[in-house]
Amino acid sequence: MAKEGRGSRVGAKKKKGEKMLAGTADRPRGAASGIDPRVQREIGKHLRAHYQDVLKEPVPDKFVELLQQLEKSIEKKS
Amino acid sequence: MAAVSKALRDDLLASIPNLRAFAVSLTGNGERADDLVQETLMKAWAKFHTFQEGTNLRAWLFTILRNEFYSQLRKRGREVEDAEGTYAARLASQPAQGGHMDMSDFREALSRLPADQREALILVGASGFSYDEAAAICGCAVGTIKSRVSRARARLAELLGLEPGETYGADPMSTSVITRTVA
Repeated sequence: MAKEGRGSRVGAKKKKGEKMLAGTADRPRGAASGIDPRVQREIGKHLRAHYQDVLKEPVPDKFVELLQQLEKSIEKKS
Repeated sequence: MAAVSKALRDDLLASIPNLRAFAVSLTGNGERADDLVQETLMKAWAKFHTFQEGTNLRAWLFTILRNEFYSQLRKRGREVEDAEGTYAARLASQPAQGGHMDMSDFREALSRLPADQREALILVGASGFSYDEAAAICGCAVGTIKSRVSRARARLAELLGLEPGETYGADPMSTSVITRTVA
């Protein structure tokens, strides 16, 4: 009986921790960040635009050359 | 071997734009970003045998790049952080389409975020990684990534003066939520 009691207490402790985590995860995104969804959308839009600016740039030649060199070095070895 | 190396070369080549975008976000400096990408490509090539096929190559590369960034930071000490965001400033600033903030203001605000918050926000909000993937890349718990992203968004909103009550006419309830969180 006592054994069972201890076991269930441990179980309860674990459950509490899980609940806390789940509580954080389950909250809707807007509420989780405490930010108005419209503000969040605006930030997201700018963030992607900022990222896209670099993403759209052509790959500099030096990287193409570097990869060609690496490829050649392996072919020579094999 | 030649076939493998050609496929690898193509995969690496295809991921360079993403690596550069992430590196620019981390360093705020185009030259340092490209050094970082170069180092990442060489490291990836050298240890490609450790990559597990079928897993996410892009996440693997981002992890290498991020580790390289922090190890360079440690080596260089404190002189590094480019708080001015020179690269960000050099990029053509485009006015937001019908938005309330300017791109250059946004970049400036982004560069002022703590590095851990900025990288979490970029990985999840721009690079298209899930919270789980971002956590794996940063070597931390999913909950940590979530809280960093939230704090990053809240800080950005604050830096950009996006007061929901004024700019967006938010309802009183969400306004009070925001006031409480920011305070």
